[in-house]
Amino acid sequence: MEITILKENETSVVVIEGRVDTVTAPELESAVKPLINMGTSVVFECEKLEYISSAGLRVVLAAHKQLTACAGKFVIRHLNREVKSVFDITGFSKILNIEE
Amino acid sequence: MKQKRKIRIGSLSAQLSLFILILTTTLLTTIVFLNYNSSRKLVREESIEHAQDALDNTILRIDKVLSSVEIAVQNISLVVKENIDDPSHMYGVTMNLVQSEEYICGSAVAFEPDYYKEKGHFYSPYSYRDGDTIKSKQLGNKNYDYHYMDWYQIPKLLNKPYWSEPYFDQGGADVIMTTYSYPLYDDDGNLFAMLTADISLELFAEHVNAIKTYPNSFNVMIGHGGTFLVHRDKDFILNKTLFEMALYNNDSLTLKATHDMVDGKRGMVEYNYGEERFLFYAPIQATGWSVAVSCMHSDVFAKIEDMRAKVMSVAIPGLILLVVLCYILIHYMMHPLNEFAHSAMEIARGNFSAKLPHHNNNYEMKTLYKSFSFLQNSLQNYIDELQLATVNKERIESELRIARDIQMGMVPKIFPPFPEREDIDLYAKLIPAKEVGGDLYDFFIENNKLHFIIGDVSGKGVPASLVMSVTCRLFRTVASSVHEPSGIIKSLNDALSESNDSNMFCTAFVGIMDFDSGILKYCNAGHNPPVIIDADGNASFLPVISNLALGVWKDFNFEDQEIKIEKGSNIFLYTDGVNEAENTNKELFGEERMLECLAKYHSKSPRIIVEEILNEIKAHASGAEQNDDITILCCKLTLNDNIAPDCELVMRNDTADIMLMAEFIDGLCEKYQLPMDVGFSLNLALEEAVANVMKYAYPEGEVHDIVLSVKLTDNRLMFKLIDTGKPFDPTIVPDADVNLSAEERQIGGLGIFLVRQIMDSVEYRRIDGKNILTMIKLL
Repeated sequence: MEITILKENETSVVVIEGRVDTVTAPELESAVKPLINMGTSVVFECEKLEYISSAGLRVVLAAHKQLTACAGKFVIRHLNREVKSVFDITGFSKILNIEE
Repeated sequence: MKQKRKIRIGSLSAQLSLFILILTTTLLTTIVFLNYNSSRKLVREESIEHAQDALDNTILRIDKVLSSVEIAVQNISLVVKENIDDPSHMYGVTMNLVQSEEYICGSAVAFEPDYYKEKGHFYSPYSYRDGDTIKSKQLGNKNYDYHYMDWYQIPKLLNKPYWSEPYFDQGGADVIMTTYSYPLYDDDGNLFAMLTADISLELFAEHVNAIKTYPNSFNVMIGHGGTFLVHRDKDFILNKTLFEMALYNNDSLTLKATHDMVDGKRGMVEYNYGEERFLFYAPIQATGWSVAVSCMHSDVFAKIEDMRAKVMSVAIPGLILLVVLCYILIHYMMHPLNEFAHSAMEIARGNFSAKLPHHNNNYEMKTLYKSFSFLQNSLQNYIDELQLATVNKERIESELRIARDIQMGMVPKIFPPFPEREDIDLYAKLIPAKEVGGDLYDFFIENNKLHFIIGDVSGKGVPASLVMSVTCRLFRTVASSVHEPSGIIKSLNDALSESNDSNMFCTAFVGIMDFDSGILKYCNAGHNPPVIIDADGNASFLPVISNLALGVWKDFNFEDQEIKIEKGSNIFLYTDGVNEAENTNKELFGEERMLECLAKYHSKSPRIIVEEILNEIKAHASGAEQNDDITILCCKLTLNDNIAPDCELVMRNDTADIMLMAEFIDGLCEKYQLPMDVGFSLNLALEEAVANVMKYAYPEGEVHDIVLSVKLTDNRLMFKLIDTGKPFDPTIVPDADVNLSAEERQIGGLGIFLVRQIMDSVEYRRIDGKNILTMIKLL
């Protein structure tokens, strides 16, 4: 997994590539944590995200909860078909802001 | 108990009072109205009569005056004739005439011109009143040529006595007067003189006004042309006519009345010149004048107005008094009702000994008191009975609960029942319709053979449960020594048929499954045929000879049957509570639906199959009460569990080894040529299962192996995850609720949910200190 953080105006764009699984999820969590603590707008750019497991979903849900709690904005975009199906099965599609 | 003295609009007392008020007011008003109208009519008639009488009286008086004058004149005329030769005597004659009648204010004997040569052209001796004395003078002269006066001319032409229209006499007494002229004729019938008597109009006015009919009434008299002769306004006299008045006021009725008056008719007219008045009129025959009385309406109807005022002054306070009295009386009468209402509320609150108001003042309240007392006693008795019944019911219920526990204790209830065996999985459930039921099941393994029974005692409840318990115990005893299903059935039948006075019977199915040979021997005693579902999901009824239910006929010859059961098949046994479950429309669940469900869930574990069938039954019943005991026993012969896997991966309990697993699965996908999305979901499910074990199965710091093995048979990809960590059954963890909002969702808890979503079957066993999680994915 590789993480790149870009700044677009006030928004932090987290570009995630590769697999987010039990092993890599903690890395994502620690990379995103300072952005969330800033309480601004965060986007997960997932075009090159190949795989996500429940450990990754846990990070996503935590980010969403914390950002919405402090009136920030959290968006996930460009999920591929397989990854999107995981979001669908778990009901995350209904509660998160997912952009095509 | 103290009632508030407050008038409530909605109260019976207020409503009754109001009702009485309305009724009496209406009645009274009607009576008063009718009475008033008829009285008014009567009073009107009476008043008119009274006025007419007064009028007649006046006319009578006038007539009397007139006739007395006429008679006096006639008498004196004889004296004139007697003394015709003595002209100077005529003064005395006239003086006598004036003296003879008090009404006469002047009198003259007016001779024809030159009647007495010596007296000249005019000779008219005239006597008149001047204060208390009577004076005389000669009336005629050049300036006063009486021969052309009306009083002289008209009777002369008419040849009869005549009352002149009133006139202002300047030659004589200088007053308004009327003159009665009496023509005197000589023996040849030639007129030689006119004997006159003057009457002051004031005198008439006195007479006319002498009668005051009503306080505000006044009288008038009019002459031939409608000229006022008598009027309360002196200026009217001789100056105005009644015609003028009528025309001025544009009053056709008065105009017509004036014509009537002039024409000498009598009558009455109503008019309004500023105030409403009646005018009664009648003629004076002798003169052709008309006398009228004008009376005010209010005077005429004064009596009736007075009466009305009196009636009102009595009626209004009377009505108010009536309402107040009615209210007080009704309130007093109704008061016990309020007390009864209060008592009823007390009783309703549970105070059955609440004191009842005792009022003996009328029959209704006494009856109400009796009814309430009866109600109170009945309630008390009823509650006592109810309490007793409840206590009894509770005792019976508690006994039934205990009986239920005992009965449930008779059937095996620990699942999985054979955790040490990998070749069989079994699940069973018994749901009695009442506290206790007549269904039964039992099973045990002996000599690598599974002995099982399912049965249904006729009827339900306690009687059925007694037979059920006997059958259960007998099966255990008999089956351990008898090794043929028919033998077991026969023993049960003999025992149940013996002294079966209550004619209870029991359908049953007994089977013995030999795991070594895969042969199922079975014997049916009138029970529903079980269903066999093979590994591909084909569900079909087991061919059975129905035979006869247990306890019907002692020496019945039961036949055995047998069949080979393939690995991976399910044997599904049930009682008629399943296929005959009814919904509210009395539609049966049915065998077809049951087979469909079984085909649908065949790949699941027996526990899931049983639970799903029960859910389907519940959905079908849609709230209808369960009317029969439901029992299901499902047994799965697990597929080739001991066959060597295609390949296996050994990992340490370190999450870093997840990477190894991802590579392992990539390899599998290549080997089995699996599509990408299947590879993705297998990766996901297995990561969740493995990560779970890595994180939680072992204490921190210890290093252990975790084994993941894979086996593909036909289209079934079977994974086994084996660890030696602490016991943990992921299949019993409740599903995560995916419909909650983001705030309600818990972080975590998703892993096992994903495993169950992706895999078609997940089974857990604990064997020899190992957790074995078997996951099957159908391709």
